Amino acid sequence: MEIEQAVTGRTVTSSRAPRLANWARILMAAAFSAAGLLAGTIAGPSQLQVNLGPMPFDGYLSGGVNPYMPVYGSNPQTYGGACPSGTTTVRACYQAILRDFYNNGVGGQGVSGVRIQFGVCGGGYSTPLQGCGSVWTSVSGPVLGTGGLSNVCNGTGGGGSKACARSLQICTHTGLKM
Amino acid sequence: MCAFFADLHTYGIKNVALTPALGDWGAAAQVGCANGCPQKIGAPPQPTPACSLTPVALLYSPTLPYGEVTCSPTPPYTQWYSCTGSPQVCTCQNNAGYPANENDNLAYNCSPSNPIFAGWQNIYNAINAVLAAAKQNSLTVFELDVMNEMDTVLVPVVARCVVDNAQTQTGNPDLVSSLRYYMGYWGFDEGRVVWDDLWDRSSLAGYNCEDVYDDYARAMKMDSVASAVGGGVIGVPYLPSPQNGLYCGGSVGTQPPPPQYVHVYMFQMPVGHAQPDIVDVHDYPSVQCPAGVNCALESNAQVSSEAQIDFTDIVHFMALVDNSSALFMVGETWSNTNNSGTYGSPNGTANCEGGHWTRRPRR
Repeated sequence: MEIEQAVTGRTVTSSRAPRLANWARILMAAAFSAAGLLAGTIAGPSQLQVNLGPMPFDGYLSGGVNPYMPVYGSNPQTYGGACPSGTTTVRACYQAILRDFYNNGVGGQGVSGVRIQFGVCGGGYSTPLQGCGSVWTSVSGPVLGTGGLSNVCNGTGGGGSKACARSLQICTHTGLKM
Repeated sequence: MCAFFADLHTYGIKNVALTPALGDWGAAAQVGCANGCPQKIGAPPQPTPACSLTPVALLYSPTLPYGEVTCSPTPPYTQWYSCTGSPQVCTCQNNAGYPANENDNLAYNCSPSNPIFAGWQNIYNAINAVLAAAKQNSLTVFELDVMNEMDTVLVPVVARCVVDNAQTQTGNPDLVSSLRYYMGYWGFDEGRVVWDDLWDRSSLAGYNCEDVYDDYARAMKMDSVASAVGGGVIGVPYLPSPQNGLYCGGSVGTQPPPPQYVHVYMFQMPVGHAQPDIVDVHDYPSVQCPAGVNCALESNAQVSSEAQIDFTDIVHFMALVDNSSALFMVGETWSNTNNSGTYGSPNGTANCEGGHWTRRPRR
């Protein structure tokens, strides 16, 4: 299992320069000095987050652990190898893990967040897009009722339609003005 | 997906860091594609001018805006595949699977596009749906970590995962602006769109030097990615002075007339953005292990010493990019020990102490 720690970087610099759009070029002209070292230190409070690894959204509600969990089981750094004995569903496995985070924490420190990776075209049992492998105009999704992201929109597992409608609205929004 | 996020909420987990797997396993053949992952080997479409060493065939994955070096036994795509001995033993060259045109500072421009790219707008739609589900379940997207451990020094073409110039017809090619837009749309911090990266280690304990960005060279990869985001230069510096595993010295160089030489000058990114307000570092404080050497023998004191250098350098990096008040995320530490993981010593219990941070009190 991997963990991550996040802390706020605080310094004692008295003023904050405007953000630089092109900091690298500015750096070229900057003198290399210990100024940065004297600027301050990394300081707390810190918090603990856990990397759960690839999240098999396609099979999260499936009735069996296989084939989804062996993706993790081969990697001792991730949690799949530690599903509680007798766990029969992917969701039950993750619920047990999350319950452990909440009740006991990792190393007794508590877990405030998790990190996940998710496939976009099918890798890691996550398939929000359909038609991958073709030209981009033939790719579609996320689509209701198929793939791992369907629960965003069908209300299953705590979902609802309100955010779905908003999501689809933005999905069809083209010509973004940045 | 919503069920997972609902479970997070139920069990008191309030923050989620998301990484869309644009890298290999996002559509790779090795795991998770129930009907076979949609990769393709083919002759690359060539931009003008093309890179000088583009292979005759590349492996394409739908979620990567470039091709990768393939290893195919099928003619005419056998450039990286060779067989020797009797009985024959066939192997791939060790750069198989790497992005095309590695070690070419101009690769961002001259490396081929991906003919089966899924399209930025389609990928944004998928990411947006995940953001929506997080919002729906009252979670905070702590980070949207676009790409893991990009090496924009040796493999500049990966900077297309910051701002793309080769698949511009498939959606807004400016990932920084686009993903910040989606984060903001759902009320999340736009500044948490980030590209994590590795912190380099020296092969000599305590050694440090200056890199081309006027930073400590342990930060070279982070410097380069920050430069890609900021619209600066990426790639291998001109005439660097590598020392003890670190990219010391060098300069930006100047753009020469053709014929171009790949390392004469660093590549200027076309668009600049403000830096993220989070710095995500994968750091294994330890001395860099030579190949075949067991570096699990470092003492706590040694790891602590390296950690103190690393974390002090991180403060320097954050100040240099005008990000001193940013949140600092150190990834891939290990439970209970905070040690340096499989890449260094297991005796690194002094890691965090070396970093001058205060730890959250135990419950």
